[in-house]
Amino acid sequence: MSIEKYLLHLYPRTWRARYEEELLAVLESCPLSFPDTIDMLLGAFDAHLHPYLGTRGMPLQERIIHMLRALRRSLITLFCAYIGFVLAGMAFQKLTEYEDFVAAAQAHSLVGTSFTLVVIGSVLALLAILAGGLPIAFAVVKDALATKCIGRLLLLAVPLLAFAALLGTIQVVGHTFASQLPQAVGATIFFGTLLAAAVVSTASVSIAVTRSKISDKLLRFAILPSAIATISMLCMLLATIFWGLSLQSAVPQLFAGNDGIMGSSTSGTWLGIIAAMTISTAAAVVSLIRGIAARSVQYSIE
Amino acid sequence: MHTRVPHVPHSSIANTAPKNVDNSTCQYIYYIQRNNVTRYNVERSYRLEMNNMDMPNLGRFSDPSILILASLAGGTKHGYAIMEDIETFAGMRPGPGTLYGAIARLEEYGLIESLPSEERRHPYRLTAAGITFLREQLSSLETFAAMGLRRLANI
Repeated sequence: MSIEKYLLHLYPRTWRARYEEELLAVLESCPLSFPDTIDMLLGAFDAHLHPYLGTRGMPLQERIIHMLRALRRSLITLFCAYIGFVLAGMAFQKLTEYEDFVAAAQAHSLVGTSFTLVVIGSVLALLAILAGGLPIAFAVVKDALATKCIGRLLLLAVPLLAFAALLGTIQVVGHTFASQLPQAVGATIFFGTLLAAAVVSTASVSIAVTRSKISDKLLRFAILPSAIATISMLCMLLATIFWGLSLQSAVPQLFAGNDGIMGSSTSGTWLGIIAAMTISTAAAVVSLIRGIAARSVQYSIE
Repeated sequence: MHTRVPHVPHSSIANTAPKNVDNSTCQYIYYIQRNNVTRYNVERSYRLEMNNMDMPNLGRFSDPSILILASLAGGTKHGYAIMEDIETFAGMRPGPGTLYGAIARLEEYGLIESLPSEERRHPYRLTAAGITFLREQLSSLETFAAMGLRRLANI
Protein backbone atom coordinates (compact mmCIF):
# COMPACT_ATOMS: atom_id res chain seq x y z
CA MET A 1 0.00 0.00 0.00
CA SER A 2 1.32 3.46 -0.88
CA ILE A 3 2.08 6.12 1.70
CA GLU A 4 -0.89 8.14 0.40
CA LYS A 5 -3.28 5.30 1.20
CA TYR A 6 -1.73 4.85 4.64
CA LEU A 7 -2.24 8.55 5.32
CA LEU A 8 -5.82 8.40 4.10
CA HIS A 9 -6.51 5.51 6.44
CA LEU A 10 -5.84 7.90 9.32
CA TYR A 11 -9.00 9.81 8.35
CA PRO A 12 -12.41 8.81 9.81
CA ARG A 13 -14.35 6.23 7.80
CA THR A 14 -17.20 8.64 6.98
CA TRP A 15 -14.78 11.27 5.71
CA ARG A 16 -12.99 8.66 3.58
CA ALA A 17 -16.25 7.44 2.09
CA ARG A 18 -16.89 10.94 0.79
CA TYR A 19 -13.45 12.31 -0.16
CA GLU A 20 -10.96 9.42 -0.35
CA GLU A 21 -11.18 8.75 -4.10
CA GLU A 22 -10.91 12.36 -5.19
CA LEU A 23 -8.12 13.14 -2.73
CA LEU A 24 -6.24 10.09 -4.02
CA ALA A 25 -6.68 11.45 -7.53
CA VAL A 26 -5.20 14.78 -6.37
CA LEU A 27 -2.29 13.02 -4.67
CA GLU A 28 -1.58 11.00 -7.82
CA SER A 29 -1.33 14.26 -9.79
CA CYS A 30 1.26 15.83 -7.50
CA PRO A 31 4.05 13.98 -5.64
CA LEU A 32 3.63 14.04 -1.86
CA SER A 33 6.28 16.23 -0.21
CA PHE A 34 7.21 16.19 3.48
CA PRO A 35 5.17 19.37 4.26
CA ASP A 36 2.22 17.77 2.42
CA THR A 37 2.57 14.67 4.62
CA ILE A 38 2.44 16.83 7.76
CA ASP A 39 -0.51 18.69 6.24
CA MET A 40 -2.32 15.39 5.65
CA LEU A 41 -1.65 14.32 9.26
CA LEU A 42 -3.06 17.63 10.55
CA GLY A 43 -6.01 17.22 8.19
CA ALA A 44 -6.71 13.73 9.57
CA PHE A 45 -6.57 15.07 13.13
CA ASP A 46 -8.94 17.89 12.19
CA ALA A 47 -11.36 15.44 10.53
CA HIS A 48 -11.46 13.38 13.75
CA LEU A 49 -12.16 16.52 15.79
CA HIS A 50 -15.11 17.41 13.54
CA PRO A 51 -17.12 14.24 12.94
CA TYR A 52 -19.77 16.07 10.89
CA LEU A 53 -17.35 16.69 8.00
CA GLY A 54 -18.18 14.48 5.05
CA THR A 55 -21.66 13.62 6.32
CA ARG A 56 -23.58 16.12 4.19
CA GLY A 57 -24.54 13.55 1.59
CA MET A 58 -25.96 11.15 4.18
CA PRO A 59 -29.72 10.71 4.66
CA LEU A 60 -30.84 12.81 7.63
CA GLN A 61 -31.68 9.79 9.78
CA GLU A 62 -28.29 8.22 9.17
CA ARG A 63 -26.63 11.54 9.93
CA ILE A 64 -28.32 11.85 13.33
CA ILE A 65 -27.30 8.31 14.23
CA HIS A 66 -23.74 8.98 13.08
CA MET A 67 -23.54 12.06 15.32
CA LEU A 68 -24.96 10.14 18.29
CA ARG A 69 -22.36 7.44 17.81
CA ALA A 70 -19.61 10.05 17.60
CA LEU A 71 -20.90 11.66 20.80
CA ARG A 72 -21.03 8.31 22.60
CA ARG A 73 -17.51 7.35 21.46
CA SER A 74 -16.19 10.73 22.59
CA LEU A 75 -17.70 10.29 26.05
CA ILE A 76 -16.27 6.78 26.34
CA THR A 77 -12.80 7.99 25.29
CA LEU A 78 -13.05 10.81 27.80
CA PHE A 79 -13.94 8.31 30.52
CA CYS A 80 -10.90 6.18 29.58
CA ALA A 81 -8.71 9.30 29.68
CA TYR A 82 -10.07 10.09 33.13
CA ILE A 83 -9.20 6.61 34.40
CA GLY A 84 -5.66 7.06 33.02
CA PHE A 85 -5.46 10.36 34.85
CA VAL A 86 -6.70 8.73 38.08
CA LEU A 87 -3.88 6.15 37.87
CA ALA A 88 -1.33 8.96 37.47
CA GLY A 89 -3.02 10.78 40.38
CA MET A 90 -2.72 7.66 42.55
CA ALA A 91 1.02 7.63 41.84
CA PHE A 92 1.15 11.31 42.84
CA GLN A 93 -0.74 10.57 46.04
CA LYS A 94 1.68 7.72 46.82
CA LEU A 95 4.65 10.00 46.14
CA THR A 96 3.40 12.76 48.45
CA GLU A 97 2.24 10.64 51.38
CA TYR A 98 5.70 10.45 53.01
CA GLU A 99 6.30 12.62 56.05
CA ASP A 100 9.00 14.69 54.34
CA PHE A 101 6.59 15.74 51.60
CA VAL A 102 3.81 16.49 54.10
CA ALA A 103 6.25 18.63 56.09
CA ALA A 104 7.38 20.41 52.88
CA ALA A 105 3.74 21.17 51.99
CA GLN A 106 3.19 22.64 55.48
CA ALA A 107 6.41 24.65 55.53
CA HIS A 108 6.27 26.06 52.00
CA SER A 109 3.03 27.73 50.95
CA LEU A 110 3.60 27.25 47.19
CA VAL A 111 4.10 23.50 47.60
CA GLY A 112 1.11 23.28 49.94
CA THR A 113 -1.17 25.40 47.73
CA SER A 114 -0.40 23.42 44.58
CA PHE A 115 -1.01 20.15 46.44
CA THR A 116 -4.35 21.50 47.74
CA LEU A 117 -5.30 22.49 44.18
CA VAL A 118 -4.65 18.92 43.03
CA VAL A 119 -6.91 17.61 45.81
CA ILE A 120 -9.70 20.09 44.95
CA GLY A 121 -9.37 19.26 41.25
CA SER A 122 -9.59 15.53 41.93
CA VAL A 123 -12.81 15.97 43.95
CA LEU A 124 -14.34 18.20 41.25
CA ALA A 125 -13.39 15.79 38.47
CA LEU A 126 -14.78 12.82 40.39
CA LEU A 127 -18.08 14.61 41.06
CA ALA A 128 -18.34 15.63 37.41
CA ILE A 129 -17.66 12.09 36.17
CA LEU A 130 -20.26 10.73 38.61
CA ALA A 131 -22.80 13.38 37.53
CA GLY A 132 -22.36 12.51 33.87
CA GLY A 133 -21.65 8.81 34.22
CA LEU A 134 -24.14 7.56 36.81
CA PRO A 135 -27.27 8.37 34.74
CA ILE A 136 -25.63 6.55 31.82
CA ALA A 137 -24.75 3.60 34.07
CA PHE A 138 -28.38 3.44 35.27
CA ALA A 139 -29.56 3.55 31.66
CA VAL A 140 -27.23 0.64 30.84
CA VAL A 141 -28.61 -1.40 33.79
CA LYS A 142 -32.19 -0.50 32.87
CA ASP A 143 -31.65 -1.51 29.26
CA ALA A 144 -29.90 -4.74 30.27
CA LEU A 145 -32.80 -5.66 32.57
CA ALA A 146 -35.40 -4.69 29.97
CA THR A 147 -33.74 -6.81 27.29
CA LYS A 148 -32.77 -9.52 29.81
CA CYS A 149 -29.17 -9.26 28.69
CA ILE A 150 -27.18 -10.87 31.50
CA GLY A 151 -23.89 -10.37 29.64
CA ARG A 152 -24.13 -6.59 29.91
CA LEU A 153 -24.85 -6.81 33.65
CA LEU A 154 -21.80 -9.04 34.01
CA LEU A 155 -19.74 -6.45 32.16
CA LEU A 156 -20.83 -3.85 34.73
CA ALA A 157 -19.89 -6.27 37.53
CA VAL A 158 -16.31 -6.56 36.24
CA PRO A 159 -15.04 -3.43 38.09
CA LEU A 160 -16.32 -4.88 41.38
CA LEU A 161 -14.64 -8.23 40.65
CA ALA A 162 -11.43 -6.44 39.64
CA PHE A 163 -11.50 -4.45 42.88
CA ALA A 164 -11.98 -7.67 44.85
CA ALA A 165 -9.01 -9.19 42.98
CA LEU A 166 -6.91 -6.15 43.85
CA LEU A 167 -7.84 -6.40 47.53
CA GLY A 168 -6.97 -10.12 47.42
CA THR A 169 -3.59 -9.33 45.88
CA ILE A 170 -2.88 -6.74 48.57
CA GLN A 171 -3.78 -9.31 51.22
CA VAL A 172 -1.59 -12.03 49.70
CA VAL A 173 1.40 -9.87 48.73
CA GLY A 174 1.25 -7.40 51.63
CA HIS A 175 0.49 -9.74 54.50
CA THR A 176 0.57 -13.48 53.81
CA PHE A 177 3.82 -13.57 51.79
CA ALA A 178 5.18 -10.19 52.88
CA SER A 179 8.25 -11.68 54.57
CA GLN A 180 9.01 -14.19 51.78
CA LEU A 181 8.81 -11.92 48.76
CA PRO A 182 11.43 -9.27 47.90
CA GLN A 183 9.90 -5.79 48.13
CA ALA A 184 10.43 -5.08 44.42
CA VAL A 185 8.60 -8.28 43.42
CA GLY A 186 5.69 -7.48 45.75
CA ALA A 187 5.44 -3.94 44.43
CA THR A 188 5.56 -5.17 40.81
CA ILE A 189 2.75 -7.66 41.46
CA PHE A 190 0.67 -4.96 43.14
CA PHE A 191 1.13 -2.37 40.41
CA GLY A 192 0.61 -4.97 37.68
CA THR A 193 -2.66 -6.08 39.28
CA LEU A 194 -3.76 -2.47 39.76
CA LEU A 195 -3.06 -1.64 36.12
CA ALA A 196 -4.74 -4.81 34.84
CA ALA A 197 -7.80 -4.18 37.06
CA ALA A 198 -8.09 -0.61 35.77
CA VAL A 199 -7.75 -1.64 32.12
CA VAL A 200 -10.19 -4.55 32.37
CA SER A 201 -12.74 -2.49 34.35
CA THR A 202 -12.59 0.47 31.97
CA ALA A 203 -12.86 -1.77 28.91
CA SER A 204 -15.84 -3.70 30.28
CA VAL A 205 -17.75 -0.54 31.24
CA SER A 206 -16.97 0.98 27.84
CA ILE A 207 -18.23 -2.14 26.01
CA ALA A 208 -21.42 -2.16 28.12
CA VAL A 209 -22.09 1.50 27.29
CA THR A 210 -21.35 0.92 23.60
CA ARG A 211 -23.84 -1.96 23.37
CA SER A 212 -26.70 -0.32 25.28
CA LYS A 213 -29.55 1.89 24.20
CA ILE A 214 -28.96 5.22 25.86
CA SER A 215 -31.15 8.28 25.49
CA ASP A 216 -29.55 11.00 23.40
CA LYS A 217 -30.61 13.46 26.12
CA LEU A 218 -28.37 11.65 28.62
CA LEU A 219 -25.48 11.65 26.18
CA ARG A 220 -25.91 15.34 25.42
CA PHE A 221 -26.23 16.17 29.13
CA ALA A 222 -22.97 14.33 29.84
CA ILE A 223 -21.02 16.89 27.80
CA LEU A 224 -21.27 19.55 30.53
CA PRO A 225 -19.89 17.33 33.35
CA SER A 226 -17.28 16.10 30.87
CA ALA A 227 -16.18 19.68 30.26
CA ILE A 228 -15.91 20.26 34.03
CA ALA A 229 -13.91 17.04 34.43
CA THR A 230 -11.58 18.02 31.59
CA ILE A 231 -11.00 21.51 33.00
CA SER A 232 -10.33 19.94 36.42
CA MET A 233 -7.81 17.57 34.83
CA LEU A 234 -6.09 20.49 33.13
CA CYS A 235 -5.94 22.40 36.45
CA MET A 236 -4.57 19.34 38.26
CA LEU A 237 -1.91 18.86 35.59
CA LEU A 238 -0.79 22.48 35.95
CA ALA A 239 -0.89 22.24 39.76
CA THR A 240 1.21 19.04 39.68
CA ILE A 241 3.78 20.73 37.41
CA PHE A 242 3.82 23.73 39.75
CA TRP A 243 4.12 21.43 42.78
CA GLY A 244 7.26 19.80 41.38
CA LEU A 245 8.85 23.09 40.37
CA SER A 246 8.13 24.73 43.73
CA LEU A 247 9.40 21.63 45.59
CA GLN A 248 12.62 21.72 43.54
CA SER A 249 13.02 25.38 44.41
CA ALA A 250 12.08 25.13 48.11
CA VAL A 251 13.52 21.73 49.13
CA PRO A 252 16.01 20.71 46.40
CA GLN A 253 17.51 17.83 48.41
CA LEU A 254 14.05 16.22 48.72
CA PHE A 255 13.36 16.63 45.00
CA ALA A 256 16.76 15.10 44.17
CA GLY A 257 16.15 12.10 46.46
CA ASN A 258 14.93 8.59 45.70
CA ASP A 259 11.46 8.67 47.22
CA GLY A 260 9.64 7.85 43.99
CA ILE A 261 7.52 4.81 43.14
CA MET A 262 9.38 1.53 43.84
CA GLY A 263 12.45 3.40 45.11
CA SER A 264 12.97 5.35 41.88
CA SER A 265 14.11 8.97 41.84
CA THR A 266 11.58 11.55 43.00
CA SER A 267 12.15 13.75 39.96
CA GLY A 268 11.82 10.74 37.59
CA THR A 269 8.53 9.66 39.18
CA TRP A 270 7.27 13.25 39.03
CA LEU A 271 8.16 13.47 35.34
CA GLY A 272 6.44 10.13 34.68
CA ILE A 273 3.31 11.34 36.46
CA ILE A 274 3.39 14.59 34.43
CA ALA A 275 3.75 12.60 31.18
CA ALA A 276 0.81 10.31 32.05
CA MET A 277 -1.35 13.25 33.14
CA THR A 278 -0.48 15.19 29.96
CA ILE A 279 -1.42 12.27 27.68
CA SER A 280 -4.68 11.70 29.58
CA THR A 281 -5.59 15.40 29.57
CA ALA A 282 -4.80 15.74 25.86
CA ALA A 283 -7.02 12.72 25.10
CA ALA A 284 -9.79 14.24 27.24
CA VAL A 285 -9.54 17.64 25.51
CA VAL A 286 -9.65 16.05 22.04
CA SER A 287 -12.64 13.89 23.03
CA LEU A 288 -14.43 16.87 24.51
CA ILE A 289 -13.96 18.99 21.35
CA ARG A 290 -15.17 16.07 19.22
CA GLY A 291 -18.13 15.48 21.53
CA ILE A 292 -19.12 19.15 21.49
CA ALA A 293 -18.92 19.19 17.68
CA ALA A 294 -21.13 16.08 17.43
CA ARG A 295 -23.55 17.45 20.03
CA SER A 296 -23.84 20.82 18.25
CA VAL A 297 -24.88 19.23 14.98
CA GLN A 298 -27.27 16.82 16.65
CA TYR A 299 -28.71 19.56 18.85
CA SER A 300 -29.29 21.91 15.90
CA ILE A 301 -31.80 19.45 14.44
CA GLU A 302 -34.18 20.32 17.28
CA MET B 1 -35.77 26.30 18.37
CA HIS B 2 -37.00 23.64 20.75
CA THR B 3 -40.03 21.65 19.71
CA ARG B 4 -41.85 19.05 21.72
CA VAL B 5 -41.43 15.71 20.04
CA PRO B 6 -44.56 13.57 19.99
CA HIS B 7 -44.43 10.07 21.36
CA VAL B 8 -44.31 7.43 18.67
CA PRO B 9 -43.83 3.70 18.96
CA HIS B 10 -40.26 2.56 18.56
CA SER B 11 -41.39 -0.04 16.10
CA SER B 12 -42.47 2.63 13.59
CA ILE B 13 -38.91 3.11 12.40
CA ALA B 14 -37.20 0.29 14.25
CA ASN B 15 -36.66 -1.54 11.00
CA THR B 16 -34.24 1.15 9.86
CA ALA B 17 -32.62 2.15 13.17
CA PRO B 18 -29.57 0.34 14.59
CA LYS B 19 -30.11 -1.79 17.70
CA ASN B 20 -28.44 0.58 20.13
CA VAL B 21 -30.53 3.62 19.17
CA ASP B 22 -33.14 4.25 21.82
CA ASN B 23 -36.78 5.24 21.57
CA SER B 24 -36.29 8.99 22.00
CA THR B 25 -33.84 9.08 19.10
CA CYS B 26 -36.32 7.19 16.97
CA GLN B 27 -38.89 9.82 17.95
CA TYR B 28 -36.62 12.59 16.68
CA ILE B 29 -36.19 10.86 13.37
CA TYR B 30 -39.92 10.21 13.16
CA TYR B 31 -40.61 13.84 13.95
CA ILE B 32 -38.24 15.04 11.26
CA GLN B 33 -39.80 12.72 8.71
CA ARG B 34 -43.39 13.61 9.66
CA ASN B 35 -42.89 17.35 9.87
CA ASN B 36 -40.85 17.62 6.73
CA VAL B 37 -37.88 19.28 8.43
CA THR B 38 -35.80 19.68 5.34
CA ARG B 39 -32.06 19.45 5.00
CA TYR B 40 -32.02 23.19 4.26
CA ASN B 41 -33.58 23.93 7.68
CA VAL B 42 -31.10 21.67 9.42
CA GLU B 43 -28.15 23.21 7.67
CA ARG B 44 -29.45 26.71 8.23
CA SER B 45 -30.07 26.23 11.94
CA TYR B 46 -26.63 24.65 12.20
CA ARG B 47 -25.04 27.58 10.44
CA LEU B 48 -26.92 29.98 12.71
CA GLU B 49 -25.59 28.13 15.71
CA MET B 50 -22.05 28.29 14.39
CA ASN B 51 -22.26 32.05 14.14
CA ASN B 52 -25.03 34.41 15.17
CA MET B 53 -24.51 36.56 12.08
CA ASP B 54 -25.30 33.62 9.81
CA MET B 55 -21.65 33.62 8.74
CA PRO B 56 -19.89 30.28 8.97
CA ASN B 57 -17.01 30.12 11.39
CA LEU B 58 -14.28 28.55 9.28
CA GLY B 59 -11.56 28.87 11.92
CA ARG B 60 -8.03 28.26 10.67
CA PHE B 61 -9.55 27.23 7.34
CA SER B 62 -10.92 30.72 6.61
CA ASP B 63 -8.03 31.81 4.35
CA PRO B 64 -7.92 28.63 2.22
CA SER B 65 -11.71 28.74 2.08
CA ILE B 66 -11.75 32.25 0.63
CA LEU B 67 -9.11 31.20 -1.91
CA ILE B 68 -11.20 28.16 -2.90
CA LEU B 69 -14.33 30.28 -3.24
CA ALA B 70 -12.41 32.83 -5.32
CA SER B 71 -11.10 30.01 -7.51
CA LEU B 72 -14.59 28.59 -8.01
CA ALA B 73 -15.87 32.08 -8.89
CA GLY B 74 -14.00 31.51 -12.15
CA GLY B 75 -15.97 28.34 -12.93
CA THR B 76 -16.44 24.77 -11.72
CA LYS B 77 -13.25 22.91 -10.83
CA HIS B 78 -12.18 19.69 -9.14
CA GLY B 79 -9.69 19.52 -6.24
CA TYR B 80 -6.45 19.46 -8.21
CA ALA B 81 -7.59 22.23 -10.58
CA ILE B 82 -8.51 24.38 -7.55
CA MET B 83 -5.05 23.76 -6.11
CA GLU B 84 -3.33 24.77 -9.35
CA ASP B 85 -5.56 27.81 -9.83
CA ILE B 86 -4.83 29.06 -6.31
CA GLU B 87 -1.10 28.61 -6.95
CA THR B 88 -1.46 30.69 -10.13
CA PHE B 89 -3.38 33.66 -8.70
CA ALA B 90 -2.25 33.62 -5.05
CA GLY B 91 1.32 32.36 -5.39
CA MET B 92 0.83 29.66 -2.76
CA ARG B 93 -0.33 26.07 -2.96
CA PRO B 94 -2.56 24.74 -0.17
CA GLY B 95 -1.57 21.30 1.08
CA PRO B 96 -3.95 18.43 0.28
CA GLY B 97 -5.07 18.13 3.93
CA THR B 98 -5.80 21.85 4.16
CA LEU B 99 -7.52 21.89 0.75
CA TYR B 100 -9.89 19.07 1.59
CA GLY B 101 -10.41 20.31 5.17
CA ALA B 102 -11.62 23.59 3.68
CA ILE B 103 -13.65 21.92 0.90
CA ALA B 104 -15.39 19.70 3.48
CA ARG B 105 -16.34 22.75 5.56
CA LEU B 106 -17.51 24.79 2.59
CA GLU B 107 -19.64 21.89 1.45
CA GLU B 108 -20.96 21.37 4.98
CA TYR B 109 -21.98 25.02 5.27
CA GLY B 110 -23.63 24.93 1.88
CA LEU B 111 -21.26 27.46 0.29
CA ILE B 112 -20.15 25.05 -2.45
CA GLU B 113 -21.69 21.91 -3.89
CA SER B 114 -20.25 18.97 -5.72
CA LEU B 115 -21.40 18.02 -9.19
CA PRO B 116 -21.66 14.46 -10.50
CA SER B 117 -18.24 12.86 -10.50
CA GLU B 118 -16.04 12.81 -13.57
CA GLU B 119 -14.17 9.50 -13.25
CA ARG B 120 -12.85 9.77 -9.68
CA ARG B 121 -13.02 13.54 -9.39
CA HIS B 122 -15.90 15.65 -8.12
CA PRO B 123 -16.08 19.11 -9.68
CA TYR B 124 -17.32 21.80 -7.30
CA ARG B 125 -19.27 24.98 -7.89
CA LEU B 126 -20.38 27.94 -5.81
CA THR B 127 -23.90 27.94 -4.41
CA ALA B 128 -25.99 31.11 -4.08
CA ALA B 129 -25.01 31.28 -0.40
CA GLY B 130 -21.36 30.85 -1.43
CA ILE B 131 -21.58 33.75 -3.89
CA THR B 132 -23.13 36.01 -1.22
CA PHE B 133 -20.55 34.95 1.34
CA LEU B 134 -17.63 35.51 -1.05
CA ARG B 135 -19.01 38.89 -2.11
CA GLU B 136 -19.28 40.02 1.53
CA GLN B 137 -15.81 38.78 2.36
CA LEU B 138 -14.22 40.43 -0.67
CA SER B 139 -16.11 43.68 -0.06
CA SER B 140 -14.78 43.86 3.48
CA LEU B 141 -11.29 43.09 2.17
CA GLU B 142 -11.71 45.86 -0.40
CA THR B 143 -12.71 48.34 2.31
CA PHE B 144 -9.75 47.24 4.40
CA ALA B 145 -7.34 47.53 1.44
CA ALA B 146 -8.68 50.98 0.49
CA MET B 147 -8.25 52.20 4.07
CA GLY B 148 -4.67 50.84 4.19
CA LEU B 149 -3.78 52.49 0.88
CA ARG B 150 -5.27 55.83 2.00
CA ARG B 151 -3.14 55.75 5.12
CA LEU B 152 -0.05 54.78 3.15
CA ALA B 153 -0.65 57.72 0.80
CA ASN B 154 -0.35 60.08 3.78
CA ILE B 155 3.11 58.79 4.77
